[in-house]
Amino acid sequence: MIPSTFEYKKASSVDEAISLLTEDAKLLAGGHSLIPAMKLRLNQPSSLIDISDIDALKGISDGGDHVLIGAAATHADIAHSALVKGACSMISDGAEQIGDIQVRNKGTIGGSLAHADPAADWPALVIAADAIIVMQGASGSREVAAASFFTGFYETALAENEIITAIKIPKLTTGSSSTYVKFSQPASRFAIVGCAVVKNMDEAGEVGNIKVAITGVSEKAYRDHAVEDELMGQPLNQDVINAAASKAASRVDVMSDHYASQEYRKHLASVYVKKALQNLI
Amino acid sequence: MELKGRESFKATREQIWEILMDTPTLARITPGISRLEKIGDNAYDAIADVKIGPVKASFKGKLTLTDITENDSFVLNVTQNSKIGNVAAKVGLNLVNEGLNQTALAFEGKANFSGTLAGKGARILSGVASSLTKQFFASLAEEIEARDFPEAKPEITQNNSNVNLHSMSHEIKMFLNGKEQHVTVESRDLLVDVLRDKLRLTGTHVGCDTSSCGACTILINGKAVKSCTMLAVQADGTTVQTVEGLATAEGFHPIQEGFKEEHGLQCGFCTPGMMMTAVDLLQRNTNPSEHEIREALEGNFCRCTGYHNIVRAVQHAAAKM
Amino acid sequence: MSSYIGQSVKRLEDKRFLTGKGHYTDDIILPQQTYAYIIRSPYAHARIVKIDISAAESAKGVVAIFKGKEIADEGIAGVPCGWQVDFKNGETMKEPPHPLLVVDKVRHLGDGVVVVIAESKAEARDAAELVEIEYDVLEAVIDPKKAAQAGAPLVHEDCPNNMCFDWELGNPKADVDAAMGKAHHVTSLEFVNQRVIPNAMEPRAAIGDYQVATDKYTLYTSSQNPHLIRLLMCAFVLGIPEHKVRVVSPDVGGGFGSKIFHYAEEALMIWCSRKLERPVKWTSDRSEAFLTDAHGRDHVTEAKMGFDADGKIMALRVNTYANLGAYLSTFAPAVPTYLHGTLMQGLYTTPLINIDVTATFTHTTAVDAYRGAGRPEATYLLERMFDLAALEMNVDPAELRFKNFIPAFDGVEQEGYQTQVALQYDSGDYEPVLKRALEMVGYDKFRAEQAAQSNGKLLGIGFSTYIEACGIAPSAVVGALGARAGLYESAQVRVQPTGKVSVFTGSHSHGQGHETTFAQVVADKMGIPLEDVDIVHGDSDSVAFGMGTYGSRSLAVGGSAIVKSIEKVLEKGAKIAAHLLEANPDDLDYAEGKWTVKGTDKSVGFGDVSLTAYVPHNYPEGLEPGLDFSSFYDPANFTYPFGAHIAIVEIDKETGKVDLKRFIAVDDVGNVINPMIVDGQIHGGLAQGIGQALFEGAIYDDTGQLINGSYMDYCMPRADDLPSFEIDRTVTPCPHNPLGVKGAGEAGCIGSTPAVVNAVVDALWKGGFKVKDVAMPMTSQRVWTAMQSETV
Repeated sequence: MIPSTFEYKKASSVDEAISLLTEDAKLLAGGHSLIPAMKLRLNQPSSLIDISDIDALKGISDGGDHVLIGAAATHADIAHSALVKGACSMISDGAEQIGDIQVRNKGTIGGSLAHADPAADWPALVIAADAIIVMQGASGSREVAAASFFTGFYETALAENEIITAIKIPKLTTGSSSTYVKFSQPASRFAIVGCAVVKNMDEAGEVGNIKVAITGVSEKAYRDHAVEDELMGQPLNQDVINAAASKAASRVDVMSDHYASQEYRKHLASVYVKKALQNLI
Repeated sequence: MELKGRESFKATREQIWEILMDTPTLARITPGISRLEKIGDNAYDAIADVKIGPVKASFKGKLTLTDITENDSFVLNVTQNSKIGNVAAKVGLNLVNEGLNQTALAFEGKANFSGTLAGKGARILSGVASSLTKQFFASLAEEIEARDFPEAKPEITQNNSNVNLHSMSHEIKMFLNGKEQHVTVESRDLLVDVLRDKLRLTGTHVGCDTSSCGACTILINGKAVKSCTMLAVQADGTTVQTVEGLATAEGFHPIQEGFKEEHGLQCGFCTPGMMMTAVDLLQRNTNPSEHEIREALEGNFCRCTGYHNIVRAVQHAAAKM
Repeated sequence: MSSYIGQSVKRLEDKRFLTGKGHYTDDIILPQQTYAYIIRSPYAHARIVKIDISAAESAKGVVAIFKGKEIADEGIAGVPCGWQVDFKNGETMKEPPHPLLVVDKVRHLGDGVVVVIAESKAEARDAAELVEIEYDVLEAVIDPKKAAQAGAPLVHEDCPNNMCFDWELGNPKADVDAAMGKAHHVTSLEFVNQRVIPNAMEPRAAIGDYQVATDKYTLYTSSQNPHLIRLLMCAFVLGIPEHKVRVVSPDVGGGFGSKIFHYAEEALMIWCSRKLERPVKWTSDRSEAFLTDAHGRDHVTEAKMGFDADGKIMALRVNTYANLGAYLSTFAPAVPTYLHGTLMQGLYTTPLINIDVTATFTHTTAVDAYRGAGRPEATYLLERMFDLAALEMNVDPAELRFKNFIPAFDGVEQEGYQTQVALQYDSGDYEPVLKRALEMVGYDKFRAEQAAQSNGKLLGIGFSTYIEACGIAPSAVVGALGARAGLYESAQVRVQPTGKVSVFTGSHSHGQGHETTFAQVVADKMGIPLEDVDIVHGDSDSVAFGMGTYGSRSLAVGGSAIVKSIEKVLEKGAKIAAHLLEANPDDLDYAEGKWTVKGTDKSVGFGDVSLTAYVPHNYPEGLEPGLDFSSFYDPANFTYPFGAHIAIVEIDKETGKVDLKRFIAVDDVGNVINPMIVDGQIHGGLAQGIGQALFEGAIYDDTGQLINGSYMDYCMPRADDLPSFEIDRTVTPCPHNPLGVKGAGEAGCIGSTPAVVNAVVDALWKGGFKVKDVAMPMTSQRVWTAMQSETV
């Protein structure tokens, strides 16, 4: 298994990386989505721009009301970060469920988001967290809410000549809690259903704000408003949860493959929405 | 794979038929089509550049229309070939009158995939099909809205799949098993191949081509990674430890001791990668439970031991470390 | 000197594997070596219209490009089959050629079409991209039963209805059917024993090295069976002189059957090397391995089992379609017949049995022996029928087994048990294994726990009591059954002048630990330290001959050959010792490495005798110098290990996910030389058998594409999918080989699969779902779907 030839260029800054980003170039961070595809020659870029060593993309820092995660932070960095765990525990729990130890040690959050695999964990996690994706292009920097970042099947709001530089994860406020649960495809361990939830209870003990994001089910990770609508303003009890869970994946096209038919996958979405919500009672 | 769908448009059957039968327009609104050339009465040569997720390829082939009933239906036969696999599809399309100025385009058929695409792409094929269908329907809707059919020809992009034989080479430096190691590598060289073929450290193995089996696991800066999913050039400036670097002058590393004492290996092929992953685990968790050990080893396949004694080997090492 | 037999001696081969110094075929780089890349068919069935290699030929680094035609033009037809099973009417089975590269037609996904040879791996791969092959795609047939139907696409034009052979064994059908008609209860089941892909962790590799100066060929290959590869390749494929060919199987990373066979790539590398006069290496990618390693199982079966009112089996009738794939692999015909039909007796006294097998070609990868080979399919059938019958008759599945077990027989005082299906079992005592397993699982309490289960999960228990025919095999017997080779084994025990011992065995080791177990046998029998013994295997230039490692035969057959040679060494040693001690050989005792004159303290050590044999100054008259003996051992019978396996599963009602909670295995593999190694063999077998039940299975679409041809979609059991196993054993020695051993390599894989399926069905049924069968692999989706059906 040998990729086709390409030029390898190592960028030392984000600006340099952007200047190197020509049409047939690909960015290389952890390489855990790109290199397997290149080995099978499913993708043959003419050049790779290595951004894994750019200091500005590394590190996890406290941004006040949010945690700022550099795009080149690995899944393991995030899983083991006390800062992240304190800010939003679902993010570190979710990171720990990605791939295996070796993949987590090398794969990056930025790479995974840009790749936008419809069964990856990060998309659901960042959507539920209401994260901001920070991107930089030749004309400067911009921020996109995670919920609008994923635009289609392996498609994102990231332009061809842009780089994800960081992800801002809002810290959960008092009364908020989060969870991520996942049913894995047994061979690849990608999600058949992954459900991330952040909920906030109001003073009356009812759901004041809730974000339910689902990956693995449809062509892209999405916020399941059908579920959320059932929960808003309701106490979080088993009846409410059951009613809400039954609405899971009711407003999206559900994918199908040999491990999970449409019907089964939709059923699993309900089950995993229920499990997630039960975790938050 | 079964293909089936239906979408309604604000147009008459005749108007949609006109769009579908107009080659340049069809080429423009069909996702991925970079060239569509009429070569016969109802036959076209087509080039489609597909770029979805991890897959990027140029498909060449023919489209033929059969069983044509004007303003009503036809059968589309597609054969498209590429280096990553081939597609053969037969799809019946039907225009269904749904009311005044409202027509549904319904299709039903079957697509067969072959080659790498079929074997490795199963997970994404149905997504690709639904995504392409959606894009097509969206473009068709836009086209209908515009109502006038631009003359512009589709852009022809050159297929860049010619093999470029110039590969940049790089002199890299690693701190490999305790020694500084310089080696010249090509951009595309995988770290595992450089270790095995150039540096002749053949203890690191290749057991798969999908980054799944973990036989190639080594430590980079102390962390377990799959050296088959890393370019050698990415190892520049790092500290690399392979199985050959586990034992010291004093003897076996505790993990080697554990595997020997608990019979944690049989054919030995997965063993180096298995041990390197276990070392990563034991650095972070000195007293892992059986459950934690099994979870930590999920990225390493063993076909001989049923993992039973590997778990014991790691426990043995943990007790010693 | 302590006894080595029966001790869990740590493995002598481990050090090289633990330090990264194992030596596998792909680790070898020879001077002047070139690299081959094989372009394979992307279709299951197609005519080759055109092959254009012009652009590739001029690509950088390309040394040569060969097509099938160039090989065929030299009169090379392809790789042969090693076992012949004839049609019921006596006609010879159909044996279409299996070319090294196809000439005009591809017959399965991955069929080899063109080989590109270049100076580097990368250049070979790059040049392959430039080869243009035009195909005319044809309809394919995948299912072995559909293949036999009129109008099915033909894999080979000269094999009507895609039939390779049909075959029948046992009592006359009329007798079986008559008994079935009188049965109190008849259990019927139609099922697929799905195709699994062996997936040894080391992908296959081969290096052909022809040296023009010496006119000698060396093949390095990841094979379980180097001598047989040499024989087949020389005599039947390339027509080259066997004495000029050396085949080396260095360290091999697991086989499980898939590396027994002579593969086209082995002969192809030798052929290419002769053309180029340079070494040529091919290493399979995993993707290629999925398409070209021989697959296992793939039976479509209907079975009926009739019981009388007391629950005694009256009759068994089986009808199987066996998928052989597109070509006949080396042992393929034997698997669904003599390794499957002959096991239909199981552990039971069934008086009437008939099995009918139809073996067909399909447009799929060849199917051959995979760990257990035929015996897992037979066990699956019997044991599924048993638990199903118990469920239908509302009796306890363990009780139903006790009622039907063959009574104990040791093969010495009591005769072997003659089955209705040709075999005569050597020795067996079946009740104790099931009793012990029930005790370990706590069966007396289990049913109460099951009924009281309240965590939203379904709890189930499944049983399997199996027998297998191992120690393969008496040559005359298998010869009569169609084997085109003998299945004896050879061993040479060479005592060096210093008393150190080199043993050359034809039993290749690729994980089984022969270097330790065999050394234990030698050290124990010769009374010398373990470290004085070295086991050599896997090189046809050093080992006289060998029939390879498979069918749990190494210790029973290969080990017995070693014992024979040891006896010869000690017999000659005694003559030398007697001379040195000035005594009669008959008056000597041999123990702890020395010969002693009975009733005295006069003795001479093994080392002194060895040295004397090579420095024969003071030496018996007329005796040849040296101490080096070869033996061939041909077993008198198969060996018959048996055991009882119990699985306990929990099913998540909401998702259908099956969680294997416990697995208990009590096996009887005869005498045990190294318990640690035997346990390890059982563990590995269990994982593979459980893998088939829960995770693994090739999925072909109806055009013949393997849609789960990678680890992203083909589910291999991982560490966190399995529990720790609870195992124990009983010991019923084999009465007909000198070590009393029966073989342990396949037991785990043979017994475990039906236990898991039975446990899932039990959980569903006791949980209130009217489910009698779940197809393997029992994915969560399949189990969930089963739960959507009718409830009891």
